[in-house]
Amino acid sequence: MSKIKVNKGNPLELMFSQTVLFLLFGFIIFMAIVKPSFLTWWNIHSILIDVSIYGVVACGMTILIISGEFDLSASSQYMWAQVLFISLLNVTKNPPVSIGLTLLSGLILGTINGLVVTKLHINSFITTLGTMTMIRGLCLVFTNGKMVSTDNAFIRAVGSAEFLGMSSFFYIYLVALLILSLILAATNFGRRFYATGGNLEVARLAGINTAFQKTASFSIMGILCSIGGMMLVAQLRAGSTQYGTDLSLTCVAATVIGGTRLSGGAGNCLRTALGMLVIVMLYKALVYLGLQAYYQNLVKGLVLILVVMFDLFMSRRRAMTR
Amino acid sequence: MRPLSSNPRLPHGFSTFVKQKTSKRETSVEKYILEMRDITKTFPGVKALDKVSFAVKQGEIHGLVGENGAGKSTLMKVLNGVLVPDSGTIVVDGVPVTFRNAKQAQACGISLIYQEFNLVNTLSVAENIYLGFLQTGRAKFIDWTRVRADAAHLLENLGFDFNVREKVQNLSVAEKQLVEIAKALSVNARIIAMDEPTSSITKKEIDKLFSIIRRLKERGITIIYISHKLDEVMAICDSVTVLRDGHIIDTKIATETSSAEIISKMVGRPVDMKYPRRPPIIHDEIVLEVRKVSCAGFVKDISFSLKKGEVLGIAGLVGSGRTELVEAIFGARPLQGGDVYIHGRRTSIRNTADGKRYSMGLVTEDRKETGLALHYSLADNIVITNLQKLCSGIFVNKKLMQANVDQYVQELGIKTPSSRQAVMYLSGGNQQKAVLAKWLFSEVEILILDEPTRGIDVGAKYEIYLLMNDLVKKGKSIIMISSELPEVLGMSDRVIVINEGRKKGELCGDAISPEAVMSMAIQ
Ligand SMILES: Nc1ncnc2c1ncn2[C@@H]1O[C@H](COP(=O)(O)OP(=O)(O)OP(=O)(O)O)[C@@H](O)[C@H]1O
Ligand SMILES: [Mg+2]
Repeated sequence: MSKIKVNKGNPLELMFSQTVLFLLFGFIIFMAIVKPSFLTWWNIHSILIDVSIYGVVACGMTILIISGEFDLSASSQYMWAQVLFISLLNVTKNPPVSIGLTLLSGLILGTINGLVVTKLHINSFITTLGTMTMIRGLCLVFTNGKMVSTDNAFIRAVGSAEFLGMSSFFYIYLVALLILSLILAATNFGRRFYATGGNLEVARLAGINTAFQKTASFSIMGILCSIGGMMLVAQLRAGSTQYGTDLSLTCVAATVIGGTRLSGGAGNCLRTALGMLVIVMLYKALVYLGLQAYYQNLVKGLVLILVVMFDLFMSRRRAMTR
Repeated sequence: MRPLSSNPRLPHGFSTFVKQKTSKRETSVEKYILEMRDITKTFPGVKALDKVSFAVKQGEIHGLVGENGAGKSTLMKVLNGVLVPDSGTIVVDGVPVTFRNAKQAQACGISLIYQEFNLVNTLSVAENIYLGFLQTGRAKFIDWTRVRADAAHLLENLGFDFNVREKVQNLSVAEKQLVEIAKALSVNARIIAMDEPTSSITKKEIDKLFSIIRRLKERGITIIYISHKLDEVMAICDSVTVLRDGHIIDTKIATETSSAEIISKMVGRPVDMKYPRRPPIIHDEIVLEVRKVSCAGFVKDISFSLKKGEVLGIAGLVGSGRTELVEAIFGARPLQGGDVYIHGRRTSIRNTADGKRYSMGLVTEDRKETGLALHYSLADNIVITNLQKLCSGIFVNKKLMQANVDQYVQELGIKTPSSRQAVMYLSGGNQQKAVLAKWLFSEVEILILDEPTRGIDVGAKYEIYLLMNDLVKKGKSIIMISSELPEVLGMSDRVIVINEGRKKGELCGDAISPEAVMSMAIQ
């Protein structure tokens, strides 16, 4: 029996093996040299707020990708949550009820996605492409394409609340991140997402209800989209079909940059959080460096491909020397 | 698994002895722990099982043999709840049962080692063993320390030396097989069915497995053992059941029968089991020369040459670097040093397309992962390696393709309702034949075979040896890796032995003997 060789690796090697960490530090150092003012507290704080709002949804995308699925409708669900939440607030004037109903709506929408994928056996790409368009349509019908807003006092309070100098959004994200990470890493329910996405047939034979796991991952995504949408409302006190159109793909990008393979069965939310940090920092830096808005998408796309390329290169190198 | 080491001081067979005593007069009529009655299972176009009745006694090791496609795996999957039979009943311990999934069968004390790997590559060894149902501690949280300790303990008890945190994707085929064995033993099963557990492990691990099986038997656990290696079956089993074309042919007490009898029952006629002789046809021309090749980080400085018309065997333990070596030569893995010469010309082979261009072919050891496009038809899988041969103009000539495919299906005896069947639905051995057919069809000059007869029945093996002889007669050359030492010795003109990534020696002619090879392989 050959013993499995474990390569020891020096700290530098470790750093390179975690592409996202390497990228993050490299980027921070780069900005510190080129534009030291980028690293002011105010700026970092605003980066963290954006990371928090998008990051909540990205957690859901990560769980979906781990289970071998995908959700294009996240951006639409996020919009719908904003629109619905504001309407509920304005009608009921009761924040807890509005929050509860918005969460419920997310749960239902996500579960519908999941059931279509698992029970009707329609590929998740097609399913969520369909629901993405439908939910977007629903929002437009509901708002007549106009912006909606609220000035509910409770929401304003949440939006501007700070603790230890950090925005409340950051803590909401932190809690979500911790809970989801704990579920993924340390419960059978969580590990079954990995088994399902890693090898569906093997998971099924092991007695795991794979349809349930997949549906659950969509349901969780739905809930997280609602939370993300409500956080945005708390920040802007407004909602619109224009906010967050790039959310789904940004979440996928964050997941991938974090080092989660799209093929499923591996990854975790903490990595995605780092991936999201990289992306948001990049967005902000592009603005900060005065790059014309039209060029920004060009750079974002390029960076995504470069990161994945680098990651592949490193893992291939490791596989070779194993 | 702790129970393995329980009661170490009890004499062999003590528990069964106690049972027999308490059941007084029934000593001569042993109890059937499992009875499968009139099981029928049809797939589109195939009647895989036709009124099969199969009974296994408490505490015995029961062999199940038959040609490729006879229905052995299907029968086990029915037992395990993975497949639902069209009709028939299963009785466990006198109680009729129906299982709708593997978990229910497990709860009833039945576990199955599947013929094909059943592991999640992205997860660790420990997690795979208890997949989806990991030990939890406080507040439903997984107790990882406990899970890893249990897994390590289980493997240690089996005498396997593993890092339980390693991801399964980093394991070799043999190591994966050992994890499968551990996984089946991790649930406290009363009946363990093993579907070709030794098809990809070497003598050393097989011996280990056998001692585990004997220990399980001492504890009163019943084993159903499927294998194409009849000497193994005869060595370890108490009784043997033969299955042919979905029918039970006979059940025999192992000591009252012989391999020859079993084979003739399997095939329906007596079979010559010798390795077919071939006249010496080796040319002087060297087609392939490998100089100081290194790869995969641990295979170092290997040199050898291959002549036209020669069969070169590569022997060595599993994990010695045999597979890595041939993969590097073919271009499936980067070379880290050394040169490969073909017809005396230095080559730079960087990928498999290069390897193919130099007229090499590689039959990989893992048919499911790297050998076949599982969702595609048998025909498509076979012709993929040499489409040019079938083309008239830019189009594939369907008639020509069908004729070629039919020829291989017939020559290799691939059992399938039609050549349009997706290969994923073929039995394990028939899939292996498909991989072979694919490279036989390619008509390459240098054919590299990595475990070519893995999971293939005795009759078909002989056919494959004949085909190999045909190939070398036509002036092709073959490199063959096999964990079955007799096969390497029986078929090779020359043998090189690899040990921990180094070439330990080269034997030819009369110097080739099992002792010589083994001493180099393990020293
Ligand atoms: N899912 C399936 N769909 C269609 N046909 C199938 C399926 N599974 C098995 N078969 C067919 O049933 C027959 C019996 O297959 P089985 O796998 O039980 O054979 P086996 O005895 O295990 O053979 P081997 O020694 O090659 O593993 C074969 O003809 C096979 O093609
Ligand atoms: Mg089989």
